Amino acid sequence: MKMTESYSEKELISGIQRDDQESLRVVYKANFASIAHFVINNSGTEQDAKDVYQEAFIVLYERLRDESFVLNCQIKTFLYSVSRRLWLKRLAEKSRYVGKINDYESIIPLEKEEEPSEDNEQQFEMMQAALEKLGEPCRTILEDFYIRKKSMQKIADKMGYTNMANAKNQKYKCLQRLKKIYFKQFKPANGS
Amino acid sequence: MEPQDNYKYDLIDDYLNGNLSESELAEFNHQLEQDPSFAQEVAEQRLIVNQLQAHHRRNILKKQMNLFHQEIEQEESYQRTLPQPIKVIHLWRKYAPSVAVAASVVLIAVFTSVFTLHTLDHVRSLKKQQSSYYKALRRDLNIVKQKQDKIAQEQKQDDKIQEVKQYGATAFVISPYGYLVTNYHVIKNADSIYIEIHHKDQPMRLQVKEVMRNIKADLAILRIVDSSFIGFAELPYAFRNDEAELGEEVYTLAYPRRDMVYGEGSISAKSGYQEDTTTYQISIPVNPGNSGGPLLDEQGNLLGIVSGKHTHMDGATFAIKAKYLEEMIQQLNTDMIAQIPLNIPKKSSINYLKRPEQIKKLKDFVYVVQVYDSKGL
Repeated sequence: MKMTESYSEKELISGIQRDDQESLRVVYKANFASIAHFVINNSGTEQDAKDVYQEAFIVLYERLRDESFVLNCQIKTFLYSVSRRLWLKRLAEKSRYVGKINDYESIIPLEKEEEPSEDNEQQFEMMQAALEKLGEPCRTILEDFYIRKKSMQKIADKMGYTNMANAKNQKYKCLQRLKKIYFKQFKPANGS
Repeated sequence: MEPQDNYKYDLIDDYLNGNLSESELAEFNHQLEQDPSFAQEVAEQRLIVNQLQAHHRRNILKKQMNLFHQEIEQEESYQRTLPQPIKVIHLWRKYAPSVAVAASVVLIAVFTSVFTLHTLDHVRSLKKQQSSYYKALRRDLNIVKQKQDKIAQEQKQDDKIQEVKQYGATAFVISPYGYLVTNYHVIKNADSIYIEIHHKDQPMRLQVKEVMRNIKADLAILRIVDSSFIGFAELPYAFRNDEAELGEEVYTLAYPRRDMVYGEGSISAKSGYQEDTTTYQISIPVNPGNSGGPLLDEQGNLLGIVSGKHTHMDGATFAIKAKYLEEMIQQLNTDMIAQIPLNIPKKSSINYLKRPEQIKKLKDFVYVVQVYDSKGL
């Protein structure tokens, strides 16, 4: 499917890097059809196509957000290659007889940097698990402070703390708890 | 908690956010060098905050992607551009060249018109595929001719074929490995059983064999034994877990005649003929040819198998509850009758589609079943 002509590849890439909603939408919508075509013609369903495509799209997004990454091919080739890789992995895991793979686009041999990194995936899962364990009210306090950048005063008001010192204390305790839970799962390579 | 701990983390936060003044920054860096445990804490803090933010960003992205996806689905062109799996090509490899040509032409037309598919390389590789199909076809054409002659002979010799044709019914796919289900009473006197696909007025037949029967439930599981068969696509429907409700809207697909027929109605009773608890009574009028067809709920989940058996007695229609089929499949697996264990499909890929779109997906899994009984009827 052709990309909409009003945006150039370069514009879209820099748009994604800036987290521009419109760039994300244009790229997402323009490239789904070809991945759907691949997955469905290789023993997959529409749902499989959606899952695999979204996984690949996340990879594209997170790579582009990493300043050290340089995209060496067209966006559509990248998405197709990564989706293809992910889908073949899934098929192999299901140990279904795969047989002949039907390809409809050109693919790039994925270099190390372009391979769907399992690190990011792992870290996401770890934080997800840690946050679930952390529970409330800590999760809301930490997300309000570190993500939504709310002031301590606002947080104190929202959570109903009598003064700022209390709120700060609570935030501190929550942070310590999260660190404890999170690093418990984390085994650093150097064993420290 | 000691107030200085609190202060320390506030300081680290300020550092990470770049909020320290020049002199504060200098002091901070100095401390980093001097105190390795402090450096460790700063590193941990940075990691946790980054991970928190990355986690949040990804969740936002997921929400955005689902929004975009909804837009794709709502766009009119969506259903038309979604591909149908080309497994059908494999089934017909043995048969008439015209089919391969038609199929290849359709393939090429689809590729070039629906997806602005680009490279000449791609078309070239298709041509290569075509020529290998032709080679295979030329090889097999003699066998086809022989088979067709044989069938023509059988049809000429046996004028009971007219009556046998009325014993055509419906069967539907329960596994991509070539397993189907129909009513037991349809195949009980069969010498040979075929499923029939219609393509451009040319009927293609694949021979099937009964692998399991449940006389009480009036079900029979069949397996395709034709060597040219490679596989079906993954099943789009799921088996429904629970029983249907009274008044629930349901629909059927079947072959009471050459063309597939759709029927809709509702669950009239949770039991069947003479209070039989193995069947539902449904308000859809059927003929014997509907026997063996699937009964589906609004989401396109399998509720049961239509049985035309007692139709003329009561004016009512009955369908065997899906759980009996499920039990049969489990039995099949336990007894290892099938070479590969059959999965009971629990994941539907059609339940968010509108009815005509569901049917489009389902119709490739419902077939005419024809029973030949030369012993006389």
